[in-house]
Amino acid sequence: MRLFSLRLKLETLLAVLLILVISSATGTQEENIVSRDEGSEVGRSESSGLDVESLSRDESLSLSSVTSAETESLTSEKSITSEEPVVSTPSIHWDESIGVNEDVSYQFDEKLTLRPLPNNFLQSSFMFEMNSTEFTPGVSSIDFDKYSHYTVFPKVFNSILHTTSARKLQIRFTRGFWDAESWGRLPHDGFKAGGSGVELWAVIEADSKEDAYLKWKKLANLLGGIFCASLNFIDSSKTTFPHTSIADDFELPLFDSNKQLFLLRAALANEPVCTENLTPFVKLLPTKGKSGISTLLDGHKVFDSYWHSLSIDISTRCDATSNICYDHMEANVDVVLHVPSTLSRNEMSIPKPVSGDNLRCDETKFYDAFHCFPKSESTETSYLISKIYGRQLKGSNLISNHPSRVCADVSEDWNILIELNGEYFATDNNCFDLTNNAKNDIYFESSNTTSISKSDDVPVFVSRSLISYGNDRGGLRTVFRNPTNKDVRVKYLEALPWFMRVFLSTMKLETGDEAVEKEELRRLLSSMHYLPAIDRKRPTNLEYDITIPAFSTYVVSYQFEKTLLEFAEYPPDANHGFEVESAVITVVEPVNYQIRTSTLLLVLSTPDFSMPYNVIILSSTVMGLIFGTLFNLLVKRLLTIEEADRIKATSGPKYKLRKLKEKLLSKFAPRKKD
Amino acid sequence: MGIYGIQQLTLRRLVGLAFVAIYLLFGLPLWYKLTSVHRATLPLEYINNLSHDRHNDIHISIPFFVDYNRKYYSNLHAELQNVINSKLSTLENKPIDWTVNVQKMNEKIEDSIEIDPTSYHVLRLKEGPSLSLQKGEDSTVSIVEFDFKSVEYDDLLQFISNSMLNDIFKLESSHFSNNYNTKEHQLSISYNPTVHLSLSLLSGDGSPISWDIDNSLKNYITPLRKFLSPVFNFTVDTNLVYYSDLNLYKLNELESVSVKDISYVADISEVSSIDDFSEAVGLNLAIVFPSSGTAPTGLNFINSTELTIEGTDISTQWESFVIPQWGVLIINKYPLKSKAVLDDNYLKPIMYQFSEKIIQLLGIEQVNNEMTSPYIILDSFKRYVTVKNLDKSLETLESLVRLTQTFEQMAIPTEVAEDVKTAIQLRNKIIKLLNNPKLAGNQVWNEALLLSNELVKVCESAFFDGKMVQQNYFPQEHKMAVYFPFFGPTTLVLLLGLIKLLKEKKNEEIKSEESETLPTKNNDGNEKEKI
Repeated sequence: MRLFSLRLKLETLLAVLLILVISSATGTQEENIVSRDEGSEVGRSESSGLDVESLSRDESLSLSSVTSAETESLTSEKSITSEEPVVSTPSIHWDESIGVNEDVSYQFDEKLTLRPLPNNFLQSSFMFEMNSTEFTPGVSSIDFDKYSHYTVFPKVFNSILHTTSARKLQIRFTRGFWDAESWGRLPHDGFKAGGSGVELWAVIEADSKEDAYLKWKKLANLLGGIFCASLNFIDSSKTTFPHTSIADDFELPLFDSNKQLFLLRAALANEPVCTENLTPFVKLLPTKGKSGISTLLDGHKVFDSYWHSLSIDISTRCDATSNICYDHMEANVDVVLHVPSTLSRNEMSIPKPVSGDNLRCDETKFYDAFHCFPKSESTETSYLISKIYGRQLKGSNLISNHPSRVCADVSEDWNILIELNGEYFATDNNCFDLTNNAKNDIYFESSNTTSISKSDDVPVFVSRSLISYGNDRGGLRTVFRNPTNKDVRVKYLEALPWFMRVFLSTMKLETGDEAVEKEELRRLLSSMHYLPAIDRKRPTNLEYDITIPAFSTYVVSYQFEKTLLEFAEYPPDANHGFEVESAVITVVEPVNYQIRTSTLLLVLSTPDFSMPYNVIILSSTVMGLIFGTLFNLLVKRLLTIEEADRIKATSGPKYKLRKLKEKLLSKFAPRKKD
Repeated sequence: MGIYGIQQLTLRRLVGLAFVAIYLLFGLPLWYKLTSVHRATLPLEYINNLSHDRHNDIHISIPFFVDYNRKYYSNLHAELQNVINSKLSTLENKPIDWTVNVQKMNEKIEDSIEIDPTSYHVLRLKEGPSLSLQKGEDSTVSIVEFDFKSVEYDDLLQFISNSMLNDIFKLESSHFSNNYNTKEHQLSISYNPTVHLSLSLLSGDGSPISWDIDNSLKNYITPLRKFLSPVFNFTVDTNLVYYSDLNLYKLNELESVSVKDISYVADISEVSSIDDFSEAVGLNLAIVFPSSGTAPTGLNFINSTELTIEGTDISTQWESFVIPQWGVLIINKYPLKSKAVLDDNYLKPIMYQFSEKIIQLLGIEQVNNEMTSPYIILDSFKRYVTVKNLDKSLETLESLVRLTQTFEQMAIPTEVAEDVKTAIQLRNKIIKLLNNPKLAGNQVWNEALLLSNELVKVCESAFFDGKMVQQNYFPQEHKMAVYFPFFGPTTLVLLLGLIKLLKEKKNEEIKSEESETLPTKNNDGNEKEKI
C-alpha cells in the first residue's frame, strides 16, 4: 500500500515536471495563465507608447460603458477623422511654384480584417488592390511615341508581364498549419492561399506549348529574383499544364489572335518562406510599409505565426470595345497568430517556465507547490494590436481617395475600440476608416473568447497520406470527408514527381458503407484527366472530378512504384526524403472553395554515395589481378618438375633457410673458439 | 638447360619489354587522350599578333564629295586631298589610321549613283559675302561660303581642310588621332542599340502627386528618339515613387554637395534596378523632392540653377547632378505639397537638361555644334563606336586566350572555337567595310555598326561559355585518385616482373656468383664484429 502511494506521488511529480518542461519549451499554451486582473495590470504598465494608463486608472474601464458613450457621438459608417493632419504645420517651406490639383488620387485600396479565432488565435488579413495606368496592347515599346507610365502599380512587373506575355499571374507563399476543424474556412475561401511552400500559376499567351514553357521559365526566374525565392528551380519536371481546376474561370485578353493562352502551374513543396520574401513584397506597395495598414507588416511577427500566406494576383483586364487594357494587382497577406504566446513573447523573448505564483492550476483537482494540473486558457482577454504586431498603424494611405480601412470580424462578446491620441472610439459595425495621418491602435476586449463570429461551414475536408510498403513501392490515399448536408462536387488536381510511377489500374474509390454499389462509385468519380510522367521531363498530372455525398467519407487510393534516381540526381541531403507538393482541391458545388492537402515526404532508397569509388577500386583490383596472372604466364620461365626441384634445392626457401642457419652458426662458431 | 634456356630467357625478356612498350607507347597515351580535357584549337597566333598592334589592319577611309564649279577651279578635290593628307601625316602617334577620300561630285556621278545627301558627306562651295562654314539643313551636306574675288586659292584650301578636320570630322580628329585611349568615357555607358530610359518622380512624403509627363516626353524626348533612331532605340517608362527621398536630408549640414557626397547617403538602386527593364542598359532621370518630415525647411545645399532655354532665362529651385553611367539626378530644394501637379513649366527645363545629358551619357559629344550638322556627328559616332567595338571584342578574345593559357585544365568546347572563328570573320568583314572608300556611305556605317555589335556578342558568348569553367573545378588529383587503383597494381606487376626478368641470369652464372659472394659477406660480417 505504501509502495503504491509512493509510486502515485512519483508519477504526479513526473507529470507536473513534464508539463513544466513542455510549457517552457513551446512557450505558448500555459505561459499566460495568470488571472485576468493581474494580466491586465501587466498589460497596462507595459503600454508605454499609449496613454492607456489614464483609462486603466479609471475603474469604469468596463469598456461597454465607454463604447456606448462614444458610439452615440459617432455615426456608424463615417468614423474617425483627426482634426489636423500632422504634416501641414505652418513651419514647412513648401515648393510654392508648383500648382495643386485636388483631384489627384490613384486607384489603390487597402483593408485589414482582424478576426479572432477559437483558442485565442487571431487571424489578420491584409488586402491591397491597385490598377496600372491604361495602355493599348500591341504598340511596340520602341515606338517613338510609346511611353509607359506607372503610378501605383509596381513597375517591376512591367518587364515581366511584357517579356513573358503573361496575362494572369498568381504567386503564393504559404507555410504553417490551418486548423480547418476549429478555425473553419480559409481566408478568401482558399483562393489566395497555396500549398505549403511556394506555388506559381500563370496564364501565358504563346504560339505553342514549347514557346509557353520558355516564357514560363523566364517568368519563374524573374519572379525568383524579385522575391528572393528559389523559383529558378522550377523546370519542366515540375511544371504542369493543368487541364481544369482554375482554368475555367479566366476570361483573359488575347493580344495576338494567332496565339493561344496556356495555363501553367508549378509548386516548390515546403520551400521556406521568410523575411526575404516579405521585404520585396512590401516594397511593391506604393505605401512601402510607411503608412496605412502595411506598417504592421513586420517579418518578425508575420513569420512567428501558426499559419501565414503571402499572395499576389495580377491579371490583365481589357475593355473589348475600346481595346484599352490595364493590369490589376491584388496582394494579400494572411496571418494566424496565437495571441497569448505572442504577448508573452513581448514580455520574455526567451521562453521561461511560469513562476509558481502565476501557475493556473485546476482547482477541482489536488494541487500544491509541487502538484498542478493546468487549467485551460483564460477566456478573458484584452490586448492592443500594437502589442501583437509590435507597431502601431501609421495613419492611412494617402494616395487614393479611399482611406485605409480596418475591420474586426467579431461576435457580440467582443468590444473593439480604436485608439487615437489617447482617446478611444467605437463604431457599430466595428470598421474603422483611417482618415488621419497619426498613429492608431486597435483595442480588443472580450470576456468570452470562445465566442467568435460565425463563419460558413467547410464544405469538405481532405487529407492525403502515403502508405508505404518499403523502399520500392508505395501507395497514396486521399480521404474526402463531407461534413455538410449537401452533396459536394470537387475538382482534384495533383502533380506528382516523375520518380513516383503511378499505377492507375490500382486506383480505387472506397467508402466505409458497403451498401454503396460499384456502379454508384463509378458515377461519383468522373472526367478523369491523366498525363503520365516522362522521366526527368514531366511530372504526372492527375485531375478528376469527384462528388462526395452528404455526411459521408470516401477514399481514393492508388499505388505507385519508386524509381531509382541517377547518382547525381540526389540532393546533398538525400536521406531527408523528397517533398511532394500538395494536391489542389477546388470545390465547385454547392459553393466555391479551394483547399490544399499537406505536402508529403517521400523516402526513396538512397545509395551509398561512396559506391562509385568502391566499384572503381574493386574492378581495378580485379583487372590488376588478371593482368598480373596473364603477365606472369607469358613472362615467367616454364620448367619441368625436375628442373624446378633442382632450382628449389639451390635457391628455394628451404635452401635459403639452410643458408641462413649456416650463416648464423658460422657467426657463433668463432666466439666459442675465443 | 643449354641453348634452349638462353633462347627462352631472351624470348621472355622480349615479351616483357613488349608489355612495357605497349604500356608506355600505346596504353598511357590512349589513357591520356581519353581522359584529358577537350581543348579545341584556338587561333592563338592570330589573336596574339593582333593584340600587339590592335589597329594595324584598320585604315578608315571616309569618302567626301566636294561640289564645286569647274569654271573657277579645275582640280580642287585632288589638291584638297593633298593638303589633308599632309596634315594628317603630321599628326604623330596616330593610333588609328584614318583618312578622308576627297572626290569630286560631278554631274556624271550625280546622275549615275545619285548621291543621297543624307547618306554621304558632301561639301558644297557657294559664293557668299565672307569665308565661312555652315551646316546644311537636316542632311550631311556642309556648305562653305566664300567670296570668289577676295579669297586666295591657297587660303580657301587651307580653310576647307581645317574646317574638315576641326569641325566636320572633329570626332575622328579628336579620338582617332590623339587621345584615343584616354578614359574620358567613364561617364558614358557602353554602346548598346536598345537603351531603356527610366524617369522617376520621387517624393519623400506619401501624399499623392502627379506630373504631366506624357506631354513633356512627347514634346521633348520624341524628337530626340527620332533623331537618334539610326543608332539607338529607346524604351521609356515613368514611375512615381513615394516615401523615398534618397536620405538626402542627411547632407543638410553642407553648403553645397557633389555627386560624391550624394553617393554616400543615397541608394540609387531604389530608383531603378536592372529587374525593371529587359534591355541590357538603361539611363535614369530621377526628380527628387525631400520629405516635409525630415527636411521641413528644404535642403540647404541646393542652390537655384540659372538656365537659358529658347532665349528666355529661367531660375529653378533645383540642381541637377550627372551620375556617371546611371543618369541624371534632379534634387529639389523644397518638399512638394499634397496633390501637387508638376506641369510643363516645371518639366520643360528638366527635359532640356535631360536630353542634353542623355547625349553625353550615350557617349556622343557636341551635337549642338553650330558648324556641323548633327547627322554628320552621328555618322562619326557610328565609326567611333564600330572601332571601339572592334577593340572591345579583341580585348575579350585576348582575355579568352590568356585564360585558356593560364588554366591548362580548362576545357575549350568546340562552340567556343567556332565562336572565335566567327568573330575573326566578322572582324575582317567590318574592316573591309571601313577601309574601302568606294563602299563607304551611310548604309555601310550602319552595317559596320550592326556587325560590330554582333561581334561583341559573339566574343562575349565565347568568353562566358559555361562549360569552360565547369571542368576547372575537377582537379587533376581526382583523376589520379580514381585511376590509381588500376595503375598501381598493373605498374607494380609490370615493373617488378621486368626487373626480375632483367636480373635473371643463366643458372651457371648465378651459381658461380653465389659461391663468390658468400665468403665475402662472411668476411664483412667478421670485420663488423671486430669493430
